[in-house]
Amino acid sequence: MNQLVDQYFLYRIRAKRDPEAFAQLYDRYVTAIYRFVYLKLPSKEAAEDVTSETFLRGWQYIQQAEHIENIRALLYKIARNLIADHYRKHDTTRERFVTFSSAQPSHVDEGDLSDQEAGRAMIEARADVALVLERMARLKEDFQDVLTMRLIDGLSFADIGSVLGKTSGNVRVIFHRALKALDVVIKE
Amino acid sequence: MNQRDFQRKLQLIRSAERGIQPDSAWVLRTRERLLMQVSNTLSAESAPAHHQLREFWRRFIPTQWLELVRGPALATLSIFGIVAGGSIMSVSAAEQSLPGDFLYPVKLAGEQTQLIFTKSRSQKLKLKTGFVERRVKEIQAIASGDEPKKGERIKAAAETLRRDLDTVKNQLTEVSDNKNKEDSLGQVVEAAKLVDQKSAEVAATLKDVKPSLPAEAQGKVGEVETAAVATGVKALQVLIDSQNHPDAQGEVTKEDISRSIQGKVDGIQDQITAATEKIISANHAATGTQTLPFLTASSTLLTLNASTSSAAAPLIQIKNAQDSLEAAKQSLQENKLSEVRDKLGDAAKAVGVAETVADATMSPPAALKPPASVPIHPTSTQSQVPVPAQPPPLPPPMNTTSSNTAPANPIPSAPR
Repeated sequence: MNQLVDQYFLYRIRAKRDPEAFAQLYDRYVTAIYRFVYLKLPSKEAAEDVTSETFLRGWQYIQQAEHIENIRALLYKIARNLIADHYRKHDTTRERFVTFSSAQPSHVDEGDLSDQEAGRAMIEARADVALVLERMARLKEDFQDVLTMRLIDGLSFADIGSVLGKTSGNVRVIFHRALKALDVVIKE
Repeated sequence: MNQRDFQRKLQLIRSAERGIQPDSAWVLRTRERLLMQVSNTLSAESAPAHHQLREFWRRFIPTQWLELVRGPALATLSIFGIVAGGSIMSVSAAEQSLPGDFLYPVKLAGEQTQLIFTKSRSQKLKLKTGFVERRVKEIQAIASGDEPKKGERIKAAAETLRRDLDTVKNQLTEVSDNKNKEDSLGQVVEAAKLVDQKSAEVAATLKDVKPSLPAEAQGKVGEVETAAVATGVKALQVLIDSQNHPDAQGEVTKEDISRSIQGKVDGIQDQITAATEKIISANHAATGTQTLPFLTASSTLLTLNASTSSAAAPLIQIKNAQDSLEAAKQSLQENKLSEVRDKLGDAAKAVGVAETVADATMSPPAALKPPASVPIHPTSTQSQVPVPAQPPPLPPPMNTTSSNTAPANPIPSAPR
C-alpha cells in the first residue's frame, strides 16, 4: 500500500508537475531518514544537513531517472552514501559511532509517564538503551544498517537489499547473523 | 543475558530509536526550502497526454501483474479469436453462397440478424430492398452457371425473392401507415423512392434473364416479375400519398411521379403480355390448335366464355388489368393522381391474380412460346404514358361491335 502511495506521488510529480507531491514524500520519510542519519553521525546539525541533502539529491534523481521502483529505498541509499561522504570529507571515521555510545535522544517521546515511578523507569530504560546502543556500535556497519532498517523502520528484506545493493536472501542472512552478533556483544 | 533479555533489549532499541524525532521547526524550514527549489525547477504545465499515460502505465500496471495475467488473457483471446474469427469467416464465405448451397441459410440468417438490429422501419425497408437486389443477383449467378439442377435452384431462389418482395411491399405499407410516428415523411419518401427504383430494376433484370432460364423456372420468375411490379406500384402509391401530404414540401416532385407511373404502366403492360403468352401457350399445348381464336390482332377477347374455357378465368383478370391500366392512363391525362394510384393498383393486382389463376387452372406442362402467328398485343412493349391526342391502345370492350367482326376461329370448346 505504501508503495502504491509513493508511486502515486511520483506520478503526480512526473505527469502533473505537482511540487506538493514531493513535499508529501518529504513528510512521509523525513523522520525515518533523519533517525537513520542521526544514529550514524556525531551531531544533530550534521544529521540535519545530511537529511536535507538527501531529499535534495532525491529530487534531482527523480527528475533524471526513467523509473524509480522504490523511493523509500532510494532515499536510504542516498543517505547512506552521504554519510560515507561526510566521514570521508571530515576524516572522522573513529568518531562515527559516538552517537550510539552517547545516545541521549533529546526528543525521546516520553508519552504520559509523568509520575515519579514512570520517570525512574524512563531513566533505567535510557541507561539500558545507552548500553545496548553502545554494544551495537561494535557491530559491523552492514549489521547495524540491517538491524536499524529492519527493526526500527520496518523495511522489507527486498528494500534493504535495494539500499545495500544485495539480494533479499543475502540481507536475510545478514540480518540473522547481525542478531546473533548483537546477542553476543550484549552478553559480553 | 538470555533470549528474553535479548528480545527486551531489541525492544528498547526500537523504542529508543523511534523516540528520536527531528526538530519540528527544522522540518518545516527544510520543507519550505525544498518546495521552493522544486517549484523553481518544475515547469508550470502538465506533461503531454502520452507522457502521462506512459507514467501511469509504468507505475500502476506492474510487470508482474502483466506476467500473471498474460497467460490467461492470451488463452481467452485465442479462444475468442477462433470462435469469432470462425464465425466471421463463415459469414463472409456465406456471403458468396447461392440458393441450394450449404452456407446459404447462414447468409439468410445474417440478413435476418441485420434486420433485427435495425430499429427504424424505413431503415429496415431499405435494408430489405438491398437484400432483394442480392436475390436477383443470385438468380443471375445461377442462370449464368452450368449445372444439372439449375432449374430447381432458380425456382428456389425465385421463391425467396418473391417472398422478399412481398415483405418489402408489406413493410412499405407499414412505413406509410406509420409516417410521422416513427419515421419522418422525408424518410418514408426516400424509402419509397428506393423501392420504386429497385423494383423496376428487379423487373427489368428478370425480364432480361428469363429467356436464358430453363423452361421450368420461367413461370416462377414470371411470378416474381409480377410481384416486383406490384411492389413498385405500392411504392408509387406511397409516393402519390406523400405528395398529397400537407408536410410534403418538395419531397416528391411531379417528375418523380410521372417517371414512376410511366415505369409502372410499362411494367404492367409487359406483365399483361407475358401472362397472355402463358395462357396462349398453355391453351395451345392443351388443345393442339395453332392459333387462339379469342385473341385477335387487337387482342380483343371475343368469344370468351368463362364457364367452359380453362383459359377464361385468367383472361378475365387480364381483361380487368388492361381495363384498369387504361383507366389509369386516362386518369393521368386528367391529372387525377389518386385515381391513377387506385387503377394501377387494381391492374397490378389483376395481373397477379391472372397469373396465379392461370397456373392453378391450366397447369401447363411447360411454358411454351406462343406461335409466331399469334400477335399478342401491338403495344405491349412500346406503351407510353398516353398523350391526350392519342386514343388508348386498349382493346375495346368485349361486347362492342368490333368484337363481332373478329376472325372466326373460336376456341373449340367454347360455345358462341
